[in-house]
Amino acid sequence: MTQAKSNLIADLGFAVREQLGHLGNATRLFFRLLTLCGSALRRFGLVRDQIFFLGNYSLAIISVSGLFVGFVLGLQGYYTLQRYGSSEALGLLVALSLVRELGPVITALLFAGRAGTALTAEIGLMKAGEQLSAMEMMAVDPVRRILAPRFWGGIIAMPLLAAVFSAVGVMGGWLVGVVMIGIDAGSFWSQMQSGVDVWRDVGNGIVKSFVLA
Amino acid sequence: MPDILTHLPAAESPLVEFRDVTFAYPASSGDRVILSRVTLSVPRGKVTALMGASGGGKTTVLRLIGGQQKAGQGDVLFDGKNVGNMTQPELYAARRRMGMLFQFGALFTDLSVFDNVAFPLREHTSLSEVLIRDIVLMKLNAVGLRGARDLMPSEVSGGMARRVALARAIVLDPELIMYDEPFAGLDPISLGTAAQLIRQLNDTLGITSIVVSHDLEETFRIADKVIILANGGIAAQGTPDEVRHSADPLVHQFVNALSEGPVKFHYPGPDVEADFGVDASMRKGSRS
Repeated sequence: MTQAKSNLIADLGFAVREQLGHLGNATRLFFRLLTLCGSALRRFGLVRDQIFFLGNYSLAIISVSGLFVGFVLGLQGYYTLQRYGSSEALGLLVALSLVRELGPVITALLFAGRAGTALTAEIGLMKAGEQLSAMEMMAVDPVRRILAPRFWGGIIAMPLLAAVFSAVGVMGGWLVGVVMIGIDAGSFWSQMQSGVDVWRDVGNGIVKSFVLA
Repeated sequence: MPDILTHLPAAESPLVEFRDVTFAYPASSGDRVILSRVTLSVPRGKVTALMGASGGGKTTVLRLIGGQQKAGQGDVLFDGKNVGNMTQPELYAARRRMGMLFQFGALFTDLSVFDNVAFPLREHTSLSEVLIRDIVLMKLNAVGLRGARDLMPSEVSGGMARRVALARAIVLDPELIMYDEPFAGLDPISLGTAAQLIRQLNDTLGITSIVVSHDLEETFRIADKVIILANGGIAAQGTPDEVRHSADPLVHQFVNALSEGPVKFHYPGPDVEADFGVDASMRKGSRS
């Protein structure tokens, strides 16, 4: 009985220690990737390929979701604003909520889903096929050669995708609000232009998208 | 005599040496010992074969030499330097002098045959593309695949993939090549070709080869020295003839491919009785 109990404790300790080890490794890898920024950017060709791979292939899903989010914002925003007689502010509402909040967050989620799984599959395959071991034996650091370009490619692609998302979303809001419902296009755009501050709002959105990436 | 030859280290000093090496994988139920107090040496310019039962630590030996794993105790020496104590740059410098052929080639699936072979050159040298092309084609020619340069790894057969990987392993002109089961899963023709290639490369390039293999026939034919690993230690070593005629029961079992002998069929575990509940008290417990 005591034997079984102490075994249980030992097993638990082993499992916890292993989990902590994994966490520590992941953290160390993350900081390693951050410090590899310079070497990744020096061989920008590799990063460029990844921006293309990650960004381009996520573009379709990002644009489609952006469009529909814009539709919804335009429609629901219109109904709510109309009650208070300020439906001209629709453009501002759509643009602010997209650029500041929805754009970075939803893009990050979609990007994690789309590009994250693609990367995991790719690297998992390389690991299973001993390609990473082979690379190590060729005195090439896989973290530097494989992970760093992907990491920094993702970091760079993320704000771009968030911008595309917001832009398409605004178009969606415009389609619903102006084309379909028929609020004044001039007030839609001018309210947006006067209300959205480049540095405070767009900058905020970009910073957010960096952090979320 | 050309000057360069006089600077070579004495032929007697082995390229790779294990001194009292112990290695174990950590596991929840105590460490699983793979190698215990192994001492061996790999002579320069020769083909050394590492043989033994599956899970006997052959691949571990290669990983220890390449510094991918560190020995728990003892020293692993590559050209007189301890691999375990090397810093990352030293280790990478040492690895540039080694080539390793993985069991299934481990080609980069997103690169063509040509780019796979060119990969180490592009990573480690600043040679012009013209020169890289010449070197890559020379190496591909040595393995008979100059014509396959534009194929993708998914388009070549298993035997060809291994030859491409071999070309990639020798592209930086290493002093040591390690082959991890080069014959596994090959048809007789590819197998013969692979064996001949290993011998030929060893002799023409003057390199040192370590071959990990199960294939008795081919391995004994091309090896200068055979080391048989079993139960974490060295069961026998010597020339192929010496090993073949060894009186050791374990070696006898291995070279004659017998299923009964010192190497057990069953992996160590609980008793059969305990596992299947044949024991009287256990049976009672499982019914309730």
